[in-house]
Amino acid sequence: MRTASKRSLATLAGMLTLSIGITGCSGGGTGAPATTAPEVDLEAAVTITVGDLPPTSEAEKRAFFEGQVEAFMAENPNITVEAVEDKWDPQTFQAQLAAGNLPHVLTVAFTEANALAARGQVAELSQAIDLAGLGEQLNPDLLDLVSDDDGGIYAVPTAAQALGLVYNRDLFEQAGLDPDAPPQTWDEVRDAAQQITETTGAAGYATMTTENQGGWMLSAGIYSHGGTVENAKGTEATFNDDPAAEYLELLQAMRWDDNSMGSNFLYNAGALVQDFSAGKIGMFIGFSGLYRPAVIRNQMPADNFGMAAMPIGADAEPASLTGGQIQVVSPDATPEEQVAAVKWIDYFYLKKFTDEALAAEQAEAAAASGQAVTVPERPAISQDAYDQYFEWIQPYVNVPLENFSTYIDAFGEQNLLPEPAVKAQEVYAELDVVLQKILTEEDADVVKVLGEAETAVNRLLGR
Amino acid sequence: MLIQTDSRPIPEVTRAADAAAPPARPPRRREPRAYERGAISDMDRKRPGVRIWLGIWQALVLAGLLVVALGPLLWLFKASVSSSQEILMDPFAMLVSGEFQVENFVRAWTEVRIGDYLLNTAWVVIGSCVATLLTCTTGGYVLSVLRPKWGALLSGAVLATLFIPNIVSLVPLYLTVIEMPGTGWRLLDTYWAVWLPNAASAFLVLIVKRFFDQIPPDLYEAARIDGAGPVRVFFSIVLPLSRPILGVVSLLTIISAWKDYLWPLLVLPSADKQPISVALPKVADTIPLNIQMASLFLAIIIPITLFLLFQKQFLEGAGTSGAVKG
Amino acid sequence: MTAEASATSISRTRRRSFRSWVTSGGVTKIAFALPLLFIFGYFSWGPIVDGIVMSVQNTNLVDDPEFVGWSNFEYVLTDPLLPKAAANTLYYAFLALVFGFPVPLLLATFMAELRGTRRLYSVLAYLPVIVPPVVAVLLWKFFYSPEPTGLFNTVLGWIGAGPFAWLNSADIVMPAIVLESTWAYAGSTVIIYLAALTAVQRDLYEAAELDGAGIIRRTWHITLPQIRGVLLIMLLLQVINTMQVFTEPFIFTGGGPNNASTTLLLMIYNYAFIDGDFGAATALSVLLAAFLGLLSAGYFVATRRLN
Repeated sequence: MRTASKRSLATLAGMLTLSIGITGCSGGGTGAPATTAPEVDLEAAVTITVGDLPPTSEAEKRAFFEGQVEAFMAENPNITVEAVEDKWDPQTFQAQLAAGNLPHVLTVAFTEANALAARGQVAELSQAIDLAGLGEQLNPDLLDLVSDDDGGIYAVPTAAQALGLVYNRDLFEQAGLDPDAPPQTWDEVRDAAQQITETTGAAGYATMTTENQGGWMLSAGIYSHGGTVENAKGTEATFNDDPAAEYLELLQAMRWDDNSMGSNFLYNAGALVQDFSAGKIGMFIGFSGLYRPAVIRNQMPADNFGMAAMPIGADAEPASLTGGQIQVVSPDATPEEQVAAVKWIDYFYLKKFTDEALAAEQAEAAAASGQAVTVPERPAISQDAYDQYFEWIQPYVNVPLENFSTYIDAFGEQNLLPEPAVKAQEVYAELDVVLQKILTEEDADVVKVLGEAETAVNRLLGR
Repeated sequence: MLIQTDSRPIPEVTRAADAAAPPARPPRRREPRAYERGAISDMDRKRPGVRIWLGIWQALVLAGLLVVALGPLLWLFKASVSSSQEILMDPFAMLVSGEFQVENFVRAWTEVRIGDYLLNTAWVVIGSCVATLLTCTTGGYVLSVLRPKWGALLSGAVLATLFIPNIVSLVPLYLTVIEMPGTGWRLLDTYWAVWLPNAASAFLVLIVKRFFDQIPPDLYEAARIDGAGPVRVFFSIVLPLSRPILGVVSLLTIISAWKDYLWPLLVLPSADKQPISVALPKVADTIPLNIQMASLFLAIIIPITLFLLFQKQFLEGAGTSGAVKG
Repeated sequence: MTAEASATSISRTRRRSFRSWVTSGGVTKIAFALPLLFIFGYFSWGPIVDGIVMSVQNTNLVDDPEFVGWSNFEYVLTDPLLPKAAANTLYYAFLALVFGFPVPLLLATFMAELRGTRRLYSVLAYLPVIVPPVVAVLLWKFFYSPEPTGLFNTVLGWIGAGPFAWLNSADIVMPAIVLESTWAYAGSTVIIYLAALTAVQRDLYEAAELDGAGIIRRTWHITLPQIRGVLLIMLLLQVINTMQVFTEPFIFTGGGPNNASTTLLLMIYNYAFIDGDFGAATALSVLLAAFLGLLSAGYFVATRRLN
């Protein structure tokens, strides 16, 4: 089982690397790692800025983050870390990039990796990773996703997600459904949605539709029906076919025949989770990390948050879209700053998977500050190390992990497919429109809608 | 400001503006109770039919204005002190539950840091105002009083920008701010990136110039005979005399800088520099609904208080400015 | 004495040699012009020229710009979204006129007849203008909740109407956005009309009254013709402003549902700041600016002929 998923990860790694190689040539990015490594003084005093400091409105996350910064600086007396609130936002990222004053370390989505590398907008890190002694922890499959053909590494992957079905266990019970046996196929999702709407009045199923998140979720839906969005080279749209049509027809049926999708069809992740937490939505496609905004921020009872594997389309193999987060380092960082940046990335995101004491310490601090400890994700490291980690932090776990069991169990059985290789966010923006059309126009013609989107995406990819 | 409110490509507008603006002479004070007549004469007003209809219409329009203009703001206050659940379930539930969560304001202030964002807005507004005043007064002085040979050319170049919708310069302006050609200065993510482009308002330069045009020239002559150079004339005669128009210019700049959204969104990417307009939509989805409403309320309470305190200046500024919208 | 006379009297002291140019204040003149030259050079004239140049270039911030002829325009003009965005923009401008032109005019004409209470009415009418657009949009976004418990749906429910989908409906989204904009901007139009109305000549009323013209006829035949100049300018400015609308559709819907509220400015924004395609963005900007320029020119010719 596990080998199956490894195989698909490797394939997707191959696909992405290829595309970095291609765009790397034309874009004139800083392709190969420096051949003459400059002298790096590992003891020199250095100050780095790191992004993703949670805003004050998320006090517990912020306190934890600041505590980790303190602990890191105590352990590395020559490094000063300044945490700032900058974070990746696909709507304004071009502007942030152009500003050129991104913090030294920033979390971005996997989808950004190849364009950033090709344009030389992030630092090449292979030397820094060596010097920081990080090599072994990293999952080589994931590392391949952010490397080019010449061995240049452009980011450190720290979290991987596979999308799945998030559901409200309380609404399931109210509707007479078994919350421990969530729907496994899309047909079952439709039935469950109908039942939830009929008995509780809540929207049985909902989906994000705006800010590129709709396109992301639509891609996941297409994958789960056996389709793809772009070809491997990212030169052409490939979604104008049966799998996509099947998913859209299913949505059409739920929206217009069963009327089980509620009344709001302009959702971004934040607004959707707000309504989900308030008990107005039964199910949606999302990722496990949404547990935090739902339970911690919007005070949904932890036991109501359930997560199952991505539903399976009628004639399709189990498949899910996988994405995740990578840490990138500013291209302006000096070699010393790069090493410090990688050390921070290691300390904050990765070291806990290999260091039992640190794992327990961080988990304890996170639990004490009121954070979720910890939401299961697709491991960014090897599965064994990840399982080991969960044993170490056992005493501090405050997330009802059993409510994720069907999601976790499916990891080994699914094809994990990557996001579109080229211009993913731009393509998602086009796909947002597809979802909105299907959900707000009663007589929308699925084939025509897909055809229009195909034209638009091909124009984008051909530009 | 940049896009929506700054396109004033018509010279007639400035003419309309200063036709309406009382220039150097002190503003006329109306005698109390001595109203100038409108379409309705005093005689009409004595007729019972007219009086009743006028009364009814007054009441209806007042009620309409109260509901339409004040209603949403009162509701916002109500939502600011409610629980999220109550806002969602029944937007008019206050009278039923009677709950009153003052702590929402405290949370909006401390957790959402509305205070910091308001401070950023203050920076944006003050700097824009200073930069605009500097450009308009010195520019107006050159064009109206000093009148060098190349003045006509300069005047034409300023005027010409009124005819070109400024959407054409949005993207290049953005690139200019990333790196100013010839200097290598990077203004992006600094307040200069908002202040300086806001000062490039041909409309305001021209209304200041027109105002200067109407200052009696004898004053300059007298000063010159006393041995005052152009610099002293500027500071001791022109500026003191132009207080009314400088007030209007400041007010218009302040209002438009306060309301601006797209431009600061583009050029102030760092969260700790963003004014309230840019910050609010970003945080809206990450905070509970009632805290969101409390944040919105805190964001408008200051401008509304200022407006109520200085209503005369606001309304006169808005009226005399002719075409400045928003 | 006129302003011209004063200026010549100052400049008459000027003599021809460079030295006397300096001593007679030539440097001072330049020094006073510097802020204007700097600000307009960098932030007005420069970007206008750049905008036109960039529309025929491929600019990506990494490589040097490259001349690409008309291809940006070709790309923009063949974008299947363009007709829709252009239609949306015109529709928005049209609706803004329908909602936003008569109401302020009626209100201002009425308020001009008020005596002791005019200030109260003015303050109330102007109040929404003081609310920053972003706050107004976020507030109205909540009012437009598509659920039966949404604020507008609750109110309409009292009279048995709705619930409406508001922003979720491709048919209602534009009127809904325009309704909010009218709320937010109409007050300033009212105040401008009111200022114009207080400047009309009074004696004509007396004459008309003697001729037996009623109140309505006096308003129609005397008041309105006198403020026609302001009305015509406001009309054009409103069209030009509304055709460059961004904030409202951007925050309300991001252009949705299915691009029903995507305006030309949203398209320009998406080209530039989502796709990073500055060439296409400037090409569309130039097209829009050219259209608006022609529109104003045509409008002036037409109104001048009428006059």
